[in-house]
Amino acid sequence: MSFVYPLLLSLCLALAAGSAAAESGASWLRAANPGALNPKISVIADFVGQSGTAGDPSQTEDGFHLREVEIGVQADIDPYARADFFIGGMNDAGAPPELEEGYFTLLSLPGGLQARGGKFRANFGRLNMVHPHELPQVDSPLALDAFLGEERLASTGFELSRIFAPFDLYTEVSYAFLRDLGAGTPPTDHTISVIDQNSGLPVELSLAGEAPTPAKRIRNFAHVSKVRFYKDLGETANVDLGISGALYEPKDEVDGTGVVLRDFDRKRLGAVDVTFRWKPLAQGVYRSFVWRTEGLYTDQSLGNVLNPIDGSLEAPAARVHRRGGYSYVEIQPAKRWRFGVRGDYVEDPLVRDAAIPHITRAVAPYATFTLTEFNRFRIQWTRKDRPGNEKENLGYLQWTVVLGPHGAHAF
Amino acid sequence: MTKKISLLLFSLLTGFAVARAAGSLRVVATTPDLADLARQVGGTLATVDCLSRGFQDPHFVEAKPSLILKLRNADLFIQTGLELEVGWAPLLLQGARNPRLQPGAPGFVDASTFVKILEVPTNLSRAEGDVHPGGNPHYLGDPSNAAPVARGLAAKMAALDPSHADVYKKNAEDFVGRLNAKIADWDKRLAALKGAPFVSYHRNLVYFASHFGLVSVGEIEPKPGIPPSPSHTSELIGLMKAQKVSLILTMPQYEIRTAEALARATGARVVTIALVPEAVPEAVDYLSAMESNVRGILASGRTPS
Repeated sequence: MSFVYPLLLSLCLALAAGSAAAESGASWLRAANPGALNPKISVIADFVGQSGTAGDPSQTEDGFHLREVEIGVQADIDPYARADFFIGGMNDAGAPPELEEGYFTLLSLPGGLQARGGKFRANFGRLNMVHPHELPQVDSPLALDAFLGEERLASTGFELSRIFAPFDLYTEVSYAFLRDLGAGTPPTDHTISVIDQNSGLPVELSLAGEAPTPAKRIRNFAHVSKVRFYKDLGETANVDLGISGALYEPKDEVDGTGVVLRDFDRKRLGAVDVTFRWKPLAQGVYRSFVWRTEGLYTDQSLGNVLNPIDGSLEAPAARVHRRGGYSYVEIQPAKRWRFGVRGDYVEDPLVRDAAIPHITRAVAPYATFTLTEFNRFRIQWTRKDRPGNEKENLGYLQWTVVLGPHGAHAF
Repeated sequence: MTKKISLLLFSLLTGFAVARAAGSLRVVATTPDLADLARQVGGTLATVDCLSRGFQDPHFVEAKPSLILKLRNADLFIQTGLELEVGWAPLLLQGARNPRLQPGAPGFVDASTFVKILEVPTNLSRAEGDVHPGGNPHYLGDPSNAAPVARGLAAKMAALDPSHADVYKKNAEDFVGRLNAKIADWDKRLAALKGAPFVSYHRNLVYFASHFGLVSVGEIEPKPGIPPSPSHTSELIGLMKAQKVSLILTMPQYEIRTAEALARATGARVVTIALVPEAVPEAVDYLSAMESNVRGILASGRTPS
């Protein structure tokens, strides 16, 4: 307990210093505010209500949900680097906190280079780096969930980027070297339910999954790259074009006799995104227009599917090529209001037989009311046409709040 | 022929040398007022670029990649500070990948460190709207504050380009001389308005009012950054009538309808203030922006009764 007295003394001194600061005015506070060196800490809560009819039960649980609480901690490390940590995943269903992102950025590299290291969302496509509460709509575009996974392309690794300006055209090139492609990669282990032939009862079996063991060779890492071009069209409009690619082709794990112990799903992803923005300079907080389209393509090798009981081949390995994308327009007619509509198209990347209809289309009109930068409401209706003429209607209400100095978002 | 070639080469070389000397210091400022002060101090030795326009709301400039290109090769970055540019300048600096401009580096200048800051909140809460934890950032609304900022920029430019330190210092003192003459003139012309009450759209005229002795009765925004509500507007009308407020001072970045509604209800006159150059057409630099403000207020014909 010997630490209690020094602690109390420190607290008293801190309080005394605080009141002295308040009395003596601005300059003292600005010079010596002890909190100035603390990291910026923000808490973002995303509260969603939904109701509707659909074939997918996981998407139609009516009611209100605290979808996610995210804690952001951001600070400069020293004159050369900064750190950003985002802990999320927590919701009212009891999901444990998990590190969504935690990375360091080197700001002072020579040659105009910038490096990131740690766990981060890869610079791929347009919305891969955007956290769920900052998405322009309540739900994610279908193609993103299908091709990039709910957690998106987020993994541990290293990224290098540089900007160029040929003919005064902003050009940014980035390359990331990652352990894998994140949650889009199948889990390490999984459990299946099978019927016990003796008892006739279902039993749970735990199987080693297809996910790689820690990468041992360069080939077992994932590679993500993007080229972004940006051009002002006068002072009020601009256009943004991005071309991205991701590659994850880990080598099969074989034993000494050449028997394949694990074969991995291999994946190649491509994305092209285009954004057009209009916003007047004078009174620009009152009016704006955005049109954004992103097309995605995946070339994926799916491993053999074996019967869990007798090990017979149920479905042979297949290579599938699937496309998807979304497009939305958003109009801001007043300071607090934005109205938009998004259209989705996605081919199911897990359906092996191209002859089977596997296309889902959706349309999602929405309205956003921004009370302040820290307090936002949104309503949305999503209509999905699933394969087999299955219709799905979902209504959403979203309320997002931000506590603390939540940092600005990239343009 | 040889003579001609030699002459041509000499011209090219000297021309290149002059071009290097003219604008050898690459300066980027966040707002047009700081950009103009940098031009006054840097003279022909600096090329100055600006990240925003005078009719934009400096709180909400978009961090466009084209602005990153302006910062990529700059030697000096000047910001207003006090979190005025917190929503966009940090993103641009990080995106620029220019180690010379990062906070703490020799090429980073926070001009708020040169002046005395007003309205530093002792109680920080988002319930008060968009508060600035370090104090009110619109300090160049007081023309007296332009002098220490100009001198501070001169010292900074001299540190980056010591061989021209005397030039920067002389340029700053020349500007301060012109500024002081103007301030004396403005003070004289607005002397009759000392104590005159006014209403502004946003709480960004604190320094301006403090210098010229105007008295703020309230803002059209109920709290900083919060759009006006009917109830607040109604209260403000009552307040303006009670205190005989005849001046409504607004700026081009704000919607005009509420100010005009207030004017109709109270008989007050709306004057568009140029806190920074470019805010109105006649405001081509800092001094002419301030001159346009003085003229605008005098032209409103609303001297206190």
